[in-house]
Order: sequence, then structure tokens, then C-alpha cells
Amino acid sequence: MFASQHFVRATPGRNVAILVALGVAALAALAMALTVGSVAVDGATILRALTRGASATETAIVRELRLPRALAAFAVGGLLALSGALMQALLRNPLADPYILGISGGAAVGALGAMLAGVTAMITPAAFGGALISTLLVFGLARTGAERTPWTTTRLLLTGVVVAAGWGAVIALLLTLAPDVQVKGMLFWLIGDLGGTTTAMPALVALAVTLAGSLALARDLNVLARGEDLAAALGVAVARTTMVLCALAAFGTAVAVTTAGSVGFVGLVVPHGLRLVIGNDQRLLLPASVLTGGTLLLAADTLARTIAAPIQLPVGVITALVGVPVLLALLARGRS
Amino acid sequence: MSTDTPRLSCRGLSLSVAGRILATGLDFDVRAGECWAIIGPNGAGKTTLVTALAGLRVPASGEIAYDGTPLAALGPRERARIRGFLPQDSVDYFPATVLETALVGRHPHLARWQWESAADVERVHAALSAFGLAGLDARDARTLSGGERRRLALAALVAQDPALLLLDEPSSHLDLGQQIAALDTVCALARNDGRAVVMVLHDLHLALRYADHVIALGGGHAHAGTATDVMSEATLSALFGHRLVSVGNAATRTFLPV
Repeated sequence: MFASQHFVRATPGRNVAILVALGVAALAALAMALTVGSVAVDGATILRALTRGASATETAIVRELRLPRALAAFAVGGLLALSGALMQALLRNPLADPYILGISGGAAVGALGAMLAGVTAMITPAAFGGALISTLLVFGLARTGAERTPWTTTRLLLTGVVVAAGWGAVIALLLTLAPDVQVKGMLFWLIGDLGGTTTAMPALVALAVTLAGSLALARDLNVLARGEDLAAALGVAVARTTMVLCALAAFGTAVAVTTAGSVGFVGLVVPHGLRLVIGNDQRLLLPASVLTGGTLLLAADTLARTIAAPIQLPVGVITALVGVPVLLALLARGRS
Repeated sequence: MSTDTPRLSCRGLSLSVAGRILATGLDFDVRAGECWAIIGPNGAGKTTLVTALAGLRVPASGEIAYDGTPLAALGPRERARIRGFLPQDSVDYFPATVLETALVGRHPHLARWQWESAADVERVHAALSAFGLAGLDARDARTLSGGERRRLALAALVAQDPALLLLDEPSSHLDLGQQIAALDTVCALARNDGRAVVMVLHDLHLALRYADHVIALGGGHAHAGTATDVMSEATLSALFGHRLVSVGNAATRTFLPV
């Protein structure tokens, strides 16, 4: 497997070329998302709707329904892929995902709890609170111990897995207690769904912040991905850098989960697949993950709301249906 | 810095691991042009000592200084521009080419948003050639043999351009010919280039061949001195807990257990 991967060294020029190509793909996915649906809107009308000039109905469809949902899908996909890339490099494990710190479980318990209590307005804050509590819990538990040493990646990973299992039990309990009419909404939230999206702003802002912060530390992350001892020897402030990048990944994931529920596989598959194609230089891998993850989730969401129309599928079903075979193929390739 | 300021100085250095004392009150100065070996039996604390010298482990007590500046006054990045450290083992978690792997050595010299320049690549190429890895730029480092990977780690260290080289078993994974070639290159950096080398060595014949000074660690004691002083039958027999005798002539001298 490895002999076939001859990466060209990442240079600013090559990076720009790759990122421009991915950016064009993202714009194409956006155009597609604005065009298709129960009412077909052609390209010229979309442009007029975006610049105020089409009929009231078409303006409303494009500006108030499709555009926020499309941008939210892109931002959520970008956040998940970026957080996944960060966690994979930090934990030096290509199979780590953005939910590794139990974030999706915590958010799900918050959101489902709010649904069960019947306070719809509290779903988003409760989900974000749950994600935050879970992250702090995992970091806190992984840090305390007999030696009181700073947490190691193995301990972080194990603590995350255990805490996630705990949330899983609570989620099962909430689903069991819920009246039948609420279970479908809860399941949609758990699988990941963008149907209720009204604004993309929080997710877009979070994406910009997370990407800018992690790009500033991208070369440090390159060294960290080769091991903490080597990174320390090469002058990386290991504990501080790891903490900042974990916090960025946790924040990005929490916003993504709060916006769209726990969409699976994007954060796992996108960075892993990209790494096999473009190499592991984080200065390219991080922005490329954002563009690819965003484009994929945008395309998946467009598919989810049109493929079985008028039934809208939760987007997480599409990402899982695509993600599972892709991941299996990547794993099989890794063994040969 | 005056010309006689030691590259590395240690005062009253004490080391302990999990309550076990490995060394107490160790004093020594490593000057430019010198090549030091750390020898001793398994578990004596050789790795602990060299990681403490690299500033990657806090000693139980004592002062370490690079070029006269105490370690406490140097941040991680400043340290990395003065000393290079070769860990005992390296693990490749992700695929990366030989060139990318060696370029990591330039990290401490680059500003936050700066990219590796043509000069950095040139320096890395020179280091790769010095360790017999020229032309392997695009190879995935994980497809290399154990010996090639060890030499790649050494090349990355040399590309880092440190004035003080701290190496934990640089000769591991290398066959006899490669051991000599690699240590010739490393020690030439000290002798011709005004750098200083401190390395953990397992093989006494390599210590005899390359080191002008030796730190003997064992049984909770540490003793630093010139090679002729430390590398004696009596000292080494006591150190390894087995009677050793000196054999061979000046060029091939070593110690063998009786």
C-alpha cells in the first residue's frame, strides 16, 4: 500500500491549486442545492433572488429556505471534517473521529432531554450545554489520576469512549421513556438532520474561527502527529498546543452537533480519505478537509431532501450509507 | 559567549525515577569539539539522563545550562534551536515521504506562517546524503528498513543544525558498517564543526572508538571523566557487575566478559 503513495511535498503553490479545485466543487454543490427541490429554480432566477429582484415566492425559497440550509450543511460538514482531522492528528490515530470526546453523546442527551420535557426552544442550548459538559468531563477525568500527570492521548481516547458509552445508555433510557409521537423527532436528531435549519450564521462563524485557529498551529500539529517526544524535542509546547487544538475541535464539533444533530462518518472518512490522496501536511489537509467535508454534506443534504421527495430523509442516513462502504474500502486498502 | 563557555554544563544533577535514585551530585562540562558517551547496564538511567540533558525531563535537582544560559531561561523553541535530541525509537503514525520526515528538523527555525525554503530543502538533502539516503526523497518512510529509518532520524537531527547533539542509542538498528559510518558523521560534526555530542552507547567498543569523555551510570552512582580515566577494566567490571578484560590493539580495543 505505502509504496504506491508518492506524495509531492506540500508547497504553497500546490496547496492553492488543490484548494481552488475543491472550492470550485463546493460552489457547484451550492448551485445544485439552490436549484433543485419541490420547486425547480433556474440559475438566472437564483442570481436575481440573491440580489433582490425575483418574484416574492422564488426569493423566499432561495433566500429563506434553501440558502440557510445549504450554508448550514456546508458549515456543519466542514466543522466535522476539520474536527476529525484535528483529533486524528492529535491522537495519532487515523480512526479517531470528532465525537471521540463523547461530544455527540452529551449533546444528544441535552437535546433529547429538552424534547422530552417539551421545551422546543431549549433544544439548541441544551445540546450545546451537553456537548460542553461532556468535553469538560472527559478532559477532567482523563487528567486526574494517581500520578496527576497531564493527560495522555491514550487516556483521553479511553475516557472519551467510556463516557460516550455512558451517554449511549442515557439516550436509550430517554428513547424508552419518550411517548411514541416524540420518538421520530428524537431519532431524526440522533441520526443528523438539517430540516429545521433557519440560520447558518453560528455554524459559519464557528467554522471560520476553528479553521483560523487551527491553521495558525498547523505546522506544530505536523510535528505533534509524529509523536509528543519528538515534538517536544523540536520546540513545540506540547501540552499547550494539544489543549488549544482539542478545545478548537471540541468547540467545532459542539456547534456542528447543535446545528444538525450527530451526523456520522463525515468527520471520520473525509480527513482519512484525503490523507491517502494529498498527504498528511496539516497546512493543506485542514483547509482541504473543510472544503471536502462541506461539499460532501451539502451534496448529501441535497440528496436527502430530494431523493424520496416529498419525504425528507435525515442527512445522517445518506452520510452513513456512503461513509460505511468508503471506510471499509479504505481499511481494506490499508491491509493489502 | 566566550570561546571557553561549555556547550553543556551540569551542576549537582540528581536523577530519580519512581523514587529510585539513579545519580546524585553529577558535575560535568561538555565543550565544543567534544564527543561524550553515556554507558552503563540496563535500567541504570542512561535514557533518563540524556532526556534530562535535553530539557525534556525535570531532574530531581541540579542545574543544566546550554552555552552558559540556564535551561529555565530558555523556552522550548529556543532550546530546539540549540540542542537536537534523537529519541531511542521513532514511530511513524501516518504515511510521510523521506523528504517530509527529514524537513521536520527545520521546524524550530521557521516562523509561524513561514514555509520551508529552497535553502531548507537543500540543507535536508545534504543531511540525507551524509547518511546515505540520497535519492530516496519520495519514498514513504514506512517502507524503509529499520537501519534506513534510524539514519533518516539522524538526518532530520542534523538538518535541525543544533550546536549540541544529544542522542539516545544512535547505533541501534544499524549493522556494523553503518554504525561506523553514522558515528563517523556525527562525531565529525563535533570535531570539525565546533559542535558537541553526548550519546548513549550500548557497545563498549563504540564508546572506546568515539568518545573522548565518558559518563558511567550504574547502581545509583554516576561518574563523569575522560575516556582513558573511566574506560578501565576495574571501573567497567564494577559497573556491569561482571569481570571484564581489555582485548585488542589501539584500533580495535574492546572489553569482553570473562
